[in-house]
Amino acid sequence: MLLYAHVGHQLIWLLYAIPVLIVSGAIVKSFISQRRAERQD
Amino acid sequence: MSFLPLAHALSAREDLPVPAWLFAWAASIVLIVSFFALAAGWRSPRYEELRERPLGEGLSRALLGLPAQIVCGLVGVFLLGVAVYAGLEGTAAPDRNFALTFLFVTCWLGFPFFSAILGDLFRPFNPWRAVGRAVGAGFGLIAGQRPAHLPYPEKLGRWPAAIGLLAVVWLEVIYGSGGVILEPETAAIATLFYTAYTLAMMGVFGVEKWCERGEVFSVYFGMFGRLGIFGTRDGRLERRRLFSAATSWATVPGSAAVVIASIATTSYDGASEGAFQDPMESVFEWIADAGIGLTASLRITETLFLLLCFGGVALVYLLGVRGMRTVPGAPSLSRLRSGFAHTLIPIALAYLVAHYFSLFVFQEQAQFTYLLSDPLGTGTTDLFGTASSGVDYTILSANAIWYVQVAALVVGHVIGLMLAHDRALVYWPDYRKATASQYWMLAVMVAFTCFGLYLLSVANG
Repeated sequence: MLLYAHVGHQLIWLLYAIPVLIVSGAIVKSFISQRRAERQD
Repeated sequence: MSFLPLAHALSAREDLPVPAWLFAWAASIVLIVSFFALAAGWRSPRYEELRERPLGEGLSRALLGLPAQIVCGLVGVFLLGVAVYAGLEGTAAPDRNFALTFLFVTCWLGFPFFSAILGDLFRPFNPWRAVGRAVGAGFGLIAGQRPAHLPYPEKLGRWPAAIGLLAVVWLEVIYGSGGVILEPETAAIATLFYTAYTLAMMGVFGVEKWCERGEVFSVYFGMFGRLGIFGTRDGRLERRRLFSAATSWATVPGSAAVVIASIATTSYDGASEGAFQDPMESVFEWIADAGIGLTASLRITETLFLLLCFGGVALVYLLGVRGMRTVPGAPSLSRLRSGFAHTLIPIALAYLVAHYFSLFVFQEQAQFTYLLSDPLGTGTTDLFGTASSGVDYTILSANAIWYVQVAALVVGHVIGLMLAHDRALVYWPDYRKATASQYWMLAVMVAFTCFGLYLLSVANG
């Protein structure tokens, strides 16, 4: 249990990083698809 | 603020209704909703015009006239003198000596907090400016001419202030950490060195020029003052729209570095109490194993992490700027870099409030009671009959502190987003392109919000 608690404590930052990853991912994805659409035009 | 024996929050939070990390998710949602609300309803710039409204001439004369300038200058010089004297002659106990709390809490935190509402409050009380102006006036009387100065190298911009800001925080949180407590005497000596340096620079480049560009405290407090509602123009007091003066702040090179240094130093102070502890210990052991003394190893480690914070905050901002550059019609990278730097000022303030609000509330009780009555902390004086007072730590609960921290971070970042959106409308008059450019700033704001909440959560938890 102690080990799990320690690992959980070390990885708590992941919970804070999730919103950043979602927003950044959405922006990068829309940027890439926009570039692709521009190239096809 | 490691020289003081009290942390940012004194006890662990009681049970929150939801886990702390969910606040980061909720804050991100608030930012995303704000972003779309701005995109939908804000289609022309509103903050670029200052829309100043001059206040009454009598009021301006009373508050800005020569007698008021002399009184404020004397107050500033007197208080600086008391702090230096207390530092040199008072007790070595940091929490009982007037010097440390006055310099690093009352002034260092008080001026940003109140200037952000009322405008630059430090300028009239700036002791170095008062001395510099008095010396300049004396020189003019004796020599019959104005003192000549060297032209300030404009390329340097505010870089001396940015480096000075890092140096002040280094002294405050790194020199005085890990058992090597910053002694009041050291702070007093550093103040005397800084006074000599500042007066010399004022002599070389001129008082007002150095205050605008290189004097750390004028630049730093003045930056927050740009958010406030009062300002001066041509010797007249004026009322302006909240935040509007910030839009013209970052036109000088190095301004972005100042605001990034502000966010980075606050982040470092918070992270060193929690999030960075394990990696810092590893680096410290690695350096100490290389044969370097323990104190030096500790300072080198902490300096490296402070610089790492500066680099990290700068990188996030520059990534946002780089992203904006990809939007068709974008101005040059350097223009974008300086053009959006002012949007970080509310974030710097939010970080400051979130990290130090509780320290300020607690320590100001000491400042205005026992530190005022017994500035030297020797127990031999009781000037105002409050020398035996204490600090009431129950005035704020740990949960109340947490809610203030969350609110400060959310509000600060929403204001940052708003200022960025407004500036984008200047560079991209087509609001659709302006909105597209701001996706990148949204990511920057969400990153800073979540990072800030993570630091606070780990430090307070």
